[in-house]
Amino acid sequence: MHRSEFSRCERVVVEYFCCCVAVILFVLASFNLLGAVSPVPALSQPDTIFQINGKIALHSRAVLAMAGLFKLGVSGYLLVGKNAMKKLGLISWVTWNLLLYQLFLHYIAAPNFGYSLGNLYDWCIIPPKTFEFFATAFSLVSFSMSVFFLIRNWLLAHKTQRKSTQPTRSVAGMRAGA
Amino acid sequence: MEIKFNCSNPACRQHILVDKSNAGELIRCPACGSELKVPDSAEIKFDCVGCGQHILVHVSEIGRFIRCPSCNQGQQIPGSPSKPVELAREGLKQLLSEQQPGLQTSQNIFQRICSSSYPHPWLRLSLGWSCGLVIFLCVIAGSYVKAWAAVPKKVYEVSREVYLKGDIRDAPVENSSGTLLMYAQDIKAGLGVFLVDLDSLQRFQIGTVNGTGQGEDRAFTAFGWSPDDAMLAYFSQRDQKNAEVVLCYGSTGAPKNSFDTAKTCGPVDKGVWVTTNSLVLLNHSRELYILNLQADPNLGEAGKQGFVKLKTLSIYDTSWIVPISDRAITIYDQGDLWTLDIPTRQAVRLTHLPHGILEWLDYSKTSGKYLFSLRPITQERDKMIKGKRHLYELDPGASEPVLVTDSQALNGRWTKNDEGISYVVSIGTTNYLEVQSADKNLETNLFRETGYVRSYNMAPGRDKLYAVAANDYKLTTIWEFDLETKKLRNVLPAQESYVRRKPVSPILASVKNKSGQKVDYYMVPPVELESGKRYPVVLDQFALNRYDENVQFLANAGIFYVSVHPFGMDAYTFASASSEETLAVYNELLKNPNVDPHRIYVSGHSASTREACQLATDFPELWRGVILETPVATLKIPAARKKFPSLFISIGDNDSPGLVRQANSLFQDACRLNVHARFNYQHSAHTYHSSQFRDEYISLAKFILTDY
Repeated sequence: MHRSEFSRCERVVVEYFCCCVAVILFVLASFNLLGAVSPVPALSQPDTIFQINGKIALHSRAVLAMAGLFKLGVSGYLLVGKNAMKKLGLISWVTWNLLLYQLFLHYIAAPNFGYSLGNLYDWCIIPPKTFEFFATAFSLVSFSMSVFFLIRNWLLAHKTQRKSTQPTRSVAGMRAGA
Repeated sequence: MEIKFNCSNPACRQHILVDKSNAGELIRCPACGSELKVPDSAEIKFDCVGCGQHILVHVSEIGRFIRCPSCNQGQQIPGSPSKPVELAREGLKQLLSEQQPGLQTSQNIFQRICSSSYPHPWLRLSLGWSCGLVIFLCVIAGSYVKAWAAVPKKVYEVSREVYLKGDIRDAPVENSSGTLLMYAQDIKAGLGVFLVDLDSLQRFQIGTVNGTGQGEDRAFTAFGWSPDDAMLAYFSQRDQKNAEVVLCYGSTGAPKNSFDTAKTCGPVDKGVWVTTNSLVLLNHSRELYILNLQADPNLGEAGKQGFVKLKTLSIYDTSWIVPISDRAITIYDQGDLWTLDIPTRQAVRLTHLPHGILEWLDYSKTSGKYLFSLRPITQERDKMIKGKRHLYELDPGASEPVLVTDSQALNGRWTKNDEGISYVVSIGTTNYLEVQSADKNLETNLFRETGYVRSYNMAPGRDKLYAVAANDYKLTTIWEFDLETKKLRNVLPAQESYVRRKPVSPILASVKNKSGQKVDYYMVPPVELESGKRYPVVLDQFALNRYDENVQFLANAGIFYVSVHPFGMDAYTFASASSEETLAVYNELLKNPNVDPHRIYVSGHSASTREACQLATDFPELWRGVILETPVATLKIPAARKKFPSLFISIGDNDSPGLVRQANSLFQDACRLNVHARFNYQHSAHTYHSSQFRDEYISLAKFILTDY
């Protein structure tokens, strides 16, 4: 997990992928934080998920702000971190949770203010449908690619391990000298 | 055959691949530019550390662990493997700083770019976040600019001019000497109470009703001047706990005294001066009180100082009181008119009116006759049908009231010496003020065709009338009409010149619905209408008064306003247009080449939001959006929908908590189902002031013009 078995070219692709995800996460975090400071009173209602019998409740505004800060943190790590495998693991975990959260919101019929920036400000004309489409597409693509890279790395690592234990096969051109 | 080897520069260790024909030659490293010697052979020879077996491997296998084929001893192939990428970059940077400029060929630079040189982590963070910030700002700025471009630039200036004056509440009241006029008008701080000097037309504010609490629309009631003009009184409700009857000096309007009603009689609905010392008040619970400023022995038990309860009236009736003498008043109770003797508190029935609703009551002390509007009610299959309102005259000596007008009329008033009457005639979507007199020369009608009347009052001398009305398609103001000279003048002349705002004349039209019935409607087209251009439409379901400031603002913002209901003083019916009527007008609108059929918004205000919600639920495909202003109804957005109209919801934070919750819930539903919605929140109760309307309608215009 911690050791990259990628070729040089793959390593570059993974780095670029992580950077792209970090940039998009930063954009999404900014949208969330902007939404959290909207004066719309519906944001001051208790969040549907983050409560237990209505006693411990977080307001939708707080949830939106926390989601923004969390995404900002992940984005920062993806840009600063050195370990490609850790970064891929983090991306797959975060995007999986985002997809799961969205599915759960749909299941319990709760609003997702994270995608409703167009409904929260007069001047913002981003349709919630468009926002949801792009955000879901981002989560799906990021999750799929990160999982793909992780599986590929695992396969490469497995192959290298087999090589090191079978020298005659791993060192193809080796022969005994005179 | 190729030879693979690593750059000899320890800071670079670039993996290099050359043809075997280049063996032994000097080349430059493509990454760092160092001069290198290509190995003579593509193979490495070394001896096993265990058995000394001579082993030959390819040069690219340097650094790998193998097992000796002879003794099976594990060992590493000698030589330095290619360096990790990050270290190579650091080495590269160090090398570049030392390197001669001549060595930085374009090929080198290209190679470095292709080989993904990574900056320092913190630099990467800055770069990454800067990149994200640029994307975020671009999206936001793009959205902002698009919204800004869609809204006419003059909207804010127009709104300032349109909503400059503020809505005038209720009818103005004149003093007995005819020198001062009192009225209430929306101001920024709430509701301002003003006096106008009728000679100089100078106005000055005497009080503020900061009504943002519940029932703000009932926060102010004018009682007018005492019979000797010494005092002036009005009711003011700041919130649920702070309500008072304010007493002012009649000549200056300076406050003299106030009486807390919160703990005594509660919020006051109607009030009249009976004597210079006493006011009769009717509260929201239909309890009749008398407020004596000083103890009055002439009124017996009811003459004690302060509030004294007289009687409780039936809660199902409208509130009307008229003073008929120093000791008696006429009240409307249990569907009939009664005379109440204040000292004895004995009520005597005056009439046996047909089943209906009394909508106005006036009394002439000269002739002792009454004038009232009555709206008959009939019951048909558990449904209450309200008939047309007509004006009746009642002589207490006669057994039955006499019908005065055939047309729909209300707010009848006796003129001077009972020589005539004035009343508001309501025809279709229009209304006007008519004056009938024994002297035919004095007969007239006002505000007909080019205006409308919202409310009016007769001066105590019954020689003038003061109307809150619009004339010549201009904004509502207070008009004074002298019944003898037939002179009409604006009591609140505009001090400001309108630069941006352009008045738009309404178009009054009618259409037949499916049942063949005539449906009147009222349309205000956008200002400077361009032929061939299509405009959005607000199709209103107004139940109460139409606020012409809002309509004029929409017209100036480039939006059609269409109302499928009469307007003006029709403040008692709460009957909005039926779906059939609205659909008939909708179909008619589609024939208009300037109407954009894909941008028709159905709108409702307060009670009429029920109809708007019903139309949106039944025919969602017809509407681009639904506008709900202070909604009392809500709608259910179906989850399995392809498309649903956009939603604009506006509500006051001090409106009924249930209604606020309901509106919030609707907005959350819209967010959940990705329906375009806008929530406009005003610091107000159920009724908005002009400044709140201004904010709301700017937001509404933006919503309509930028609707995606």
